[in-house]
Amino acid sequence: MGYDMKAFRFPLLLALLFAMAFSLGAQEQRRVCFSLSYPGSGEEAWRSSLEGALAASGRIGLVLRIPGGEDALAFAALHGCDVAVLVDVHAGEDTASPSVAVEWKIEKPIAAALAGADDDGNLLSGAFSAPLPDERRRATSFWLEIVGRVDAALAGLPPAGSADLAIEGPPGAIVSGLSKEPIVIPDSGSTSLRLRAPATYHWSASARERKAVSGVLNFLGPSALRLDLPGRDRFRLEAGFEKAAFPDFRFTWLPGPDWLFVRAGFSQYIGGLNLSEVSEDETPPVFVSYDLVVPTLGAGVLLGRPEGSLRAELGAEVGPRLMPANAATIVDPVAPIRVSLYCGLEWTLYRKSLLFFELGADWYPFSDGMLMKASYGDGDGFRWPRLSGGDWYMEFLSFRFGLRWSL
Amino acid sequence: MISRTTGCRTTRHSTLASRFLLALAVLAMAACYLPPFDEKLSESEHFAAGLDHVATLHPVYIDDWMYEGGYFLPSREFDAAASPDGFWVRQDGTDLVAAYMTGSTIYSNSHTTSNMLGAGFVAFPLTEQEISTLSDSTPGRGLITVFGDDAASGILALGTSTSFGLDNNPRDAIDFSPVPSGNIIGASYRIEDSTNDRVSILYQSASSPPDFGGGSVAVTNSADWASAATITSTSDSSGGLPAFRPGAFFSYCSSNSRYYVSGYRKDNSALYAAYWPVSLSSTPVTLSGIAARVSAILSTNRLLAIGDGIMYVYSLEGSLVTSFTTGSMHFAYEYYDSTDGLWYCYFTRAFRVKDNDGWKVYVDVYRCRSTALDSLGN
Repeated sequence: MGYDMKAFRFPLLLALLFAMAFSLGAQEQRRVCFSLSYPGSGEEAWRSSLEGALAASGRIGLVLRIPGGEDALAFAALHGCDVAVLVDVHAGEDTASPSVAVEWKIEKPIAAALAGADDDGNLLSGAFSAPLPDERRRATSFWLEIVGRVDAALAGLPPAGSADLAIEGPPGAIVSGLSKEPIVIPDSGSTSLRLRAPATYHWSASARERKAVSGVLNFLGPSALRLDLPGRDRFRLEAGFEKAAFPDFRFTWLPGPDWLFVRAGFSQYIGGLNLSEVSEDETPPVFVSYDLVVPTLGAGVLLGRPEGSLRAELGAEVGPRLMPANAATIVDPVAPIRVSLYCGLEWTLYRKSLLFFELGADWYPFSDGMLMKASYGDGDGFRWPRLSGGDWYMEFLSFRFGLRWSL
Repeated sequence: MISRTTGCRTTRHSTLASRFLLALAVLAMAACYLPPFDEKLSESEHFAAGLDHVATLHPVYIDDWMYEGGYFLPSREFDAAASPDGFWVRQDGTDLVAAYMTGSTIYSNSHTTSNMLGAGFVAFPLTEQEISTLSDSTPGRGLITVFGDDAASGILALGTSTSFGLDNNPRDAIDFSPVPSGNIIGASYRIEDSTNDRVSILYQSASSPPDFGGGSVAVTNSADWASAATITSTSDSSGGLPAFRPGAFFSYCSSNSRYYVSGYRKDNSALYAAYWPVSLSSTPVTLSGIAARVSAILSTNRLLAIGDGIMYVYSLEGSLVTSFTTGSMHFAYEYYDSTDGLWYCYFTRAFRVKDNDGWKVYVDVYRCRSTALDSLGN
């Protein structure tokens, strides 16, 4: 007993569609885009008929055409389509009567565009031949097979608009930006959250004694977010180079908030470089030494996001000018105190290594302004800008740079 | 996803960091920074805290060549309230340049001569009465220095002319009897008491070991040096002391009748103190433990030795009493102030700052009671 499968195909597919339509209930409708190519005239009629057939599906809420010349998958990804339907219609091989051959593919555009390279995003594909349909049939039953396959593919996708995100991090860490209320990582160190997808989230996370971290999450489906919160800087050691001439060092303490620091150290002039220009008749020594050190104590603030790679700083420090080689290690009577005011930038080169540059001015209160001017030296070369009064002296454009290491 | 973003950041930061480091390197090469600090000046300021400030002369525009290595020598009639004056003297090798200075003016009519004693003995100011014949202008100011290095030369006196410059007409101030053999290698001049100055001269023969000859004479400081004073010279041919380089300190100490000598041997090694107990014909005694060349014998019976930025005070037997860091402070002389009958040590310090007209020189004059010097130490 033989059966004419073509005769059964339409009723079966119709029944399938009805069944699916009943099962949809109140499910969210999906977004589908499609492209269709047809070599002869009437391509627009073919396209319109497929558009109408897809739009008639109860599972599909929006149908978009992929413009000619556009990359179909990129377009679909850009417009948030759940699947892309690519249809190629050409003349059939049946020479007895006019027929068409239809090749179709259903693809996951977002996954294809953004997921791993080994996933080409192909969900379903197939082909069939049929007599060349008239306009009525093309508008009613010709596309039922493809529409049915699209419905089936959509049914296999994760529920529209949400997926689970697993978050792993240090217990107690607070994650903001993923939901209306901040999420606290429990003692187990992991939690999960159902999020709308696909979507992009700007999140930030913080925890006690750790550096705050932020990032951008392109959430396409179920995935995991591992929070790597490095320990917060509490102490720093830095090696500097004052005016590109004299090495110095500082030890910094960040007592509480990420923006406040206290630091101590000393500037020294016992050993340094003299890179002044060489005159015609005199070559100054490259290494210079002065009996002068300045222990410093200061404080300041760091500006900008703690997790940022570039932060600004403002600070001040004060210290006595000591002459250690003197028999009694005296405080310099000409200028006993130096107050440095500065602003600067620090740049995270790698996790715990930072490059910094500070620019400011050195103020010498309670000093003899005239003797300070005389102390400046006899050189006729470049002279740093300075101002002085009877009992004060100020030198501008003081700068230092170097490296910092978080301990 | 995140790792891809981080990767992009790392690449971009590496590029920026490289540029930043390059900029810093350029900045470093362009930098030529010397801190606003002059160790000698600061040390002098520390020392000055224990002294009385007498006067400041400023601003004085002194040519660069004249300023370098020079110092200010107050006049004997130095009047801080009225018109502080004195001499800017500069010793460079055997060249001695002296110019008269008053207030903020330095007179260009400087006198240049040869001083074979180098920095060993440069010049000493004379009283107005001592050079009244040589300098009859007002104010009459004068210096005594040493001219040449042989017996035919002698002590030279220079006085100011009517134009306030130093008169280039020196006079012979000191004679010897008998004239020692050899060359002058040491000298000193000091104010001995309220009425007398004292000049001491040491000759050294060319023989080996050398013969030393010379002596000392007191001259009144309240009368014109109308004629040369005569030193009755004695000599030492014992060979007890080595030959000295020119520029030794040599002085008679009236309180113990010794002749002290301090300087450098021919091989540049130091012989910082020795003395002849009675006259140069007595056997010399060498003192040990003195750290620098003696430059003066003070009224307090102390030897004042001056090193590089540091001064030492010794007893006449060579025991260290104290030392102090003086930096760029220059010991001028010890002075008897007849108004209060006290002895004072005078110090001067010069520094300069640059303005649009050139280098402005500031000269500070300080003093302290000679008896207080022992307690000024470090």
